[in-house]
Amino acid sequence: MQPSLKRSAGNSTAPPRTAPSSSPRSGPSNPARMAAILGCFDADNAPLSTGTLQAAVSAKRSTFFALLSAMQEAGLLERVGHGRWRLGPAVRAWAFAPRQGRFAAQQPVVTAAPQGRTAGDTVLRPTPDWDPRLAERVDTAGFRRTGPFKLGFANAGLSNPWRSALVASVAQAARLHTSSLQELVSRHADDDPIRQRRQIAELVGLGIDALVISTVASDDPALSNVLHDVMSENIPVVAVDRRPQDQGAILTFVTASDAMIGRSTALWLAERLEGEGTVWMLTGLADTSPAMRRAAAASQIFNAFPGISLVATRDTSWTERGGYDATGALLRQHGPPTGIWCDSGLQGVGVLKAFKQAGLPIPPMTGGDLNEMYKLGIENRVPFVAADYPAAMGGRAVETALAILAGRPVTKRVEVPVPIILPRGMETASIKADAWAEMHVRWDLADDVVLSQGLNLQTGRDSQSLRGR
Amino acid sequence: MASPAYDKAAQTLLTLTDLVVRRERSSPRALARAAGLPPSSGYRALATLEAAGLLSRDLDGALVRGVGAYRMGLAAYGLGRFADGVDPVLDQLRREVRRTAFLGILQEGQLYFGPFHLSRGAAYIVPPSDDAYNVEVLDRASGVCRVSLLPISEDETNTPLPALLTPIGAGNAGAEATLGVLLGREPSNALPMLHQAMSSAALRLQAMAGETGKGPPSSARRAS
Repeated sequence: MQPSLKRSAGNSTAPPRTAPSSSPRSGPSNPARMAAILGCFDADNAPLSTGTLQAAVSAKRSTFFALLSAMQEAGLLERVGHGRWRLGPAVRAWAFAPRQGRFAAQQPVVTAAPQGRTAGDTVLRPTPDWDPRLAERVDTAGFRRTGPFKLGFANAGLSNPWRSALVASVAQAARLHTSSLQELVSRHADDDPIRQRRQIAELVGLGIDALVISTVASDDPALSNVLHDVMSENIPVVAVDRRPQDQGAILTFVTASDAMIGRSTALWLAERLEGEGTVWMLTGLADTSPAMRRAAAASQIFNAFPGISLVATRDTSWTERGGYDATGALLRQHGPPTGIWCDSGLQGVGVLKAFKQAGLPIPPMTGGDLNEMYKLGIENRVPFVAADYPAAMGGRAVETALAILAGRPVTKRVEVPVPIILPRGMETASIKADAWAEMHVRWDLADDVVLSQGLNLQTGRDSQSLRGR
Repeated sequence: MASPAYDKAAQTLLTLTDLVVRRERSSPRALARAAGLPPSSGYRALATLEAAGLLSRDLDGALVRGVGAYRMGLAAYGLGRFADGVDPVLDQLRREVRRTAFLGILQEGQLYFGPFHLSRGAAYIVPPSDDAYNVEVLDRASGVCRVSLLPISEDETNTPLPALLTPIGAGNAGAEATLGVLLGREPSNALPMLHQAMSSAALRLQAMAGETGKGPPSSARRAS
């Protein structure tokens, strides 16, 4: 039986609300007001009237005109005729934007032409085909409303450190957007699909404006029905990390390319084994979309190498215990393999520990995410490749939900980049490192830290200060 | 004339968005200090800019210019419609060609670097600065130009950068968006693959921007 969906009074028709403010006592800061003014302009920089800009900020008339004047003087705005404005020359410089600061910082600026290996000489491409949903726009106009908003997060569970990192990323984004986000209400379903459906009904009853969901199970028609009902209540649904198979039940999906993770890690392993050997596939959690897509992409690669024999496939529930137990059972059944494919380090650490305990040499393997995976891999000189599934996608999901509520178009699929991480000297013909494992590991942080959560892990004190605002 | 408080707010906004590029991987405290702000004010300003999307965290948690910043930067040229495609398209392109992939802005024969994706290794050239470059076209085939980018600044350490460019759409005041890849000493047999990858990426960016039809535009779409 499906839980009934009832929104709290006053929310069922998405009524306009009062204008947002970042601080009820003092109002938005001047940089926040300036950012709000700059955010008014469209993609073509069409001139806007003074009145239009004034409507975007909560400020007295005199304050507003002082803001405009300062912005004009700084080159942030320029006047176009009488009473009309557009983005100014100083804003153009913001187009220059490294999208991965770390990579740039790891090497000096190169101004002479470097020697490079020939691109395109790979047998198999590590990148999957382009997903057209990345370009498919979703019309969000019907979901537009005035904040501040209440956001619901229906999380599958907290069964491993990655899931905790996802929750931390969602919470961090909510703290950053306090001006538009009144409240974040999170529910964790302990991987119980019935509980998740009940929790969604509860969140709707609390009057949420948008729902972010990471589903317990992918193929769950009952959940799809619930999500369709949520959308029919004019509440946009954003899936993150795990989505329902029924893509019509969600508006958009924030993820990373599971196909890329499966494909590139399997290709590295196959090349590392020179196309010969026995391989175990230790997958994540049965019936979840990331696990299925990674395994399918990896199998496709292994199938292209006739000398690779897949001797066993086991689910590990993405836990250390799952990886440890599966390894013990498979060692007894088949003996050591020549390579192990794990779709994450969450179970990879269990594999490493099982081999260590058995006193066996650890074969080449795959799996990242967890700080301990890197620590153990480097300490034990294990040949491994890692593709960190970015927990920072939680923050992107919050931002996407807020964009939808603002009526801004979003794409059907939003992907967060996945870096490839290798220990030095472990690159293969096709798989090159985006970062070295020796640089990526954090010896100073706990084993269960997920390095891809997007929070400032380097300077915990600074991060705390920012988060605690 | 604006009051000092508002001038200071504008300068804070500009300084912090500049510092995250010039002092990569600096802590919020260091950024605040470099901007001449007390730590508490600095944290508050950084959090404000992060919430506005002008700054964001990369996957390692370091502050970088955010999607909102380069969207506005491109919009200032009338090219903001390409902003949504930057991350997925450039990330895929740089993986395919194993070179720095960027979105550039051509205006009056000069190129300005926009957002770019790169990776570790000598094959990935870091665009040295946000200065303008003169563009010398060496040859062109299938809509892709092989060019030499000549630094305008007088810094003697700057040398010409070889690149491939394919224009993808017009903006305001003669500005054109161009997809680009920075080259090393490419063996000639690599160029067809690079051309193919760039052409595909250009079509994707155009599709995401809602552009119809392909082909380098010759004039600005609208007057300034």
